[in-house]
Amino acid sequence: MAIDRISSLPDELLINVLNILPTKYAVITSILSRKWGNLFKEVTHLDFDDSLLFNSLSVFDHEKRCVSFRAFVCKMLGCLKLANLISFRIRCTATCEGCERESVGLWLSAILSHGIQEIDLCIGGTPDVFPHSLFTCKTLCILKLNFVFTILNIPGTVCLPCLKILHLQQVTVIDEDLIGRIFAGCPLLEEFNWDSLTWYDARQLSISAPSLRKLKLGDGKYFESSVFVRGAMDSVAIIAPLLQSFYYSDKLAKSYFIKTSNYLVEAHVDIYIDSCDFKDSSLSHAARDLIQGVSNVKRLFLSADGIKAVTLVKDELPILRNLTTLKIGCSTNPHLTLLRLLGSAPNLEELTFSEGLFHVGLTDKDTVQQDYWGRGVVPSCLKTHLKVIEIEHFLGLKEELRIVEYFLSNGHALEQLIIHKWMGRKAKFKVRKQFKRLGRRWNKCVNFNELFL
Amino acid sequence: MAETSSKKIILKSSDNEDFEVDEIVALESQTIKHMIEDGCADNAIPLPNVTAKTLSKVIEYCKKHVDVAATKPADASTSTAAGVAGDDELKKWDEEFVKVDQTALFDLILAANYLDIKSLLELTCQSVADGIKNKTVEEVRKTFNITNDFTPEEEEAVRKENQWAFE
Repeated sequence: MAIDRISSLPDELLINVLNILPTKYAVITSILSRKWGNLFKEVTHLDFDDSLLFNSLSVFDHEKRCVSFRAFVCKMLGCLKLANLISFRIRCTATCEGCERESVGLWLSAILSHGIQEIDLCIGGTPDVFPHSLFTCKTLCILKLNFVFTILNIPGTVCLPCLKILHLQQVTVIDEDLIGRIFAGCPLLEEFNWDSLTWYDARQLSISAPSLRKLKLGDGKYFESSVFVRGAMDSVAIIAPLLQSFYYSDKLAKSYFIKTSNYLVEAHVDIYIDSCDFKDSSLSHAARDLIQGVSNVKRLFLSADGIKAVTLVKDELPILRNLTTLKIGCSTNPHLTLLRLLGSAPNLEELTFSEGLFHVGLTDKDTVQQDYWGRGVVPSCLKTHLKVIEIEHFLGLKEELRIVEYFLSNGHALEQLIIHKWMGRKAKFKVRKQFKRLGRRWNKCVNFNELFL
Repeated sequence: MAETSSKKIILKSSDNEDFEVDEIVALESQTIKHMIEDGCADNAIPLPNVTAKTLSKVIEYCKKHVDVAATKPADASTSTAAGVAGDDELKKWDEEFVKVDQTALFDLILAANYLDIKSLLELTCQSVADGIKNKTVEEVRKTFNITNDFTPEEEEAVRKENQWAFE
């Protein structure tokens, strides 16, 4: 016989479940049975999403939706003990000019005077109507702001003594001082994600963060923002002694000052450079300083454009002493830069070509034989430390095989060479046969992974 | 490769079955951790609220999470991509783990609550929440066999009071 076990769970566990649900569903449980009637009033996590509220209302009935949504939130806030509220999340994309923002301002005022810990706002509108207490809340640990392309402007002081995580998404910042003020006011900040860095309309960026462990600047979609494309910044300064993870996607700035320490574990560098900037010799220093700033890193990912940045560096590259893993995208430049990088990473153990050695679509005619794979000093990491090489999108080009041969002959520590074949290529190529002639010993460490794309 | 300390702890289920586990696995439970710290664990630790069937599932969960944590590179925290990748795999395992019948699921919730294993409690509660999300009231009642003990007038009153959620 089917029994109702869920209702016999202790109230606190049921409230746990309700806390996970979007608030609309939590309220709906009030109708399930008597036991459930008032449970929803005990939730400590609120999650309002206006896209969930419009089942019956017409999509085009804009004003009715706003009114309905506002009423819902007000009623809910009225039911709860606000003092117990831990987390407040609101997604409001159907906004009426002005009215929505004012309401949100009022709601926030009500919540902020208690012990709220997490606020996640996805709402169009400037924070001018938001209570200043949003930026001076003593208990706030997590703050996520998505203002749907409006300007973040905080006129007064920022003082969030408990804030650990700050996310800015689709937010425009025009005040150069603001970032500095935010960091000054958030001494415990551990994680800062700024996806919409492209919308930063200033020439300098300065981040000094004693507790920061994770930093994400940009979101890899720089090129897709056709609405507003900012030019290169004059300077980027980052002082973060405890930084563990660094993600950076933006146009190469004109100068860098980055101070990290051996805590830095991984860095993802995705730099965009205008083709005309290649002739600008001052960018050589910028690129070098950028690499210098992350030279402590253990795992480095360089996008195709990131490699272009390295190509710019005319002087010797900084030594990447701790680097054990290197993943690179596929650059249109020849692989000389790669050899230079390998030369600066004496302890490298893993090398991955995440987008292959050459762009898909190239043929043997397009790939010129490069001499430097034969001459010159072999990077020391190949002789002593490099254990694994992984190549995605292998096309079967002659030049690719030459490069592989180079690695196999010079890679004395090599244990595995993993090849992912690009099956999109029509012409069949007998890769195995070609590898066979490289000797039996090497056949043991070459591993084929055939991806069917 | 294995940890040098392989101290074993014996856990006794409500139906008197003994389970021998590595101490590090048992420590996933804050309740057991406190018992060990208080010196109550010299003999078998009795768990009168957990049956053998549920306890073996709980142990399976704890063991997997301990194993995964041990094989992560030392610096892979949730801040790093390597840490996240390991977490994704574990997440998939968790999703499969929690695909059990309702009875087993509720037993797991109660056990996770009693044994104070935060991640297991979150996982199981999420599973229940998924059973309520995006469903109508009738569907939820059916899924969980909840009897509607409201009188029609009472139900109407509650519905009216909270009608803003039903629009």
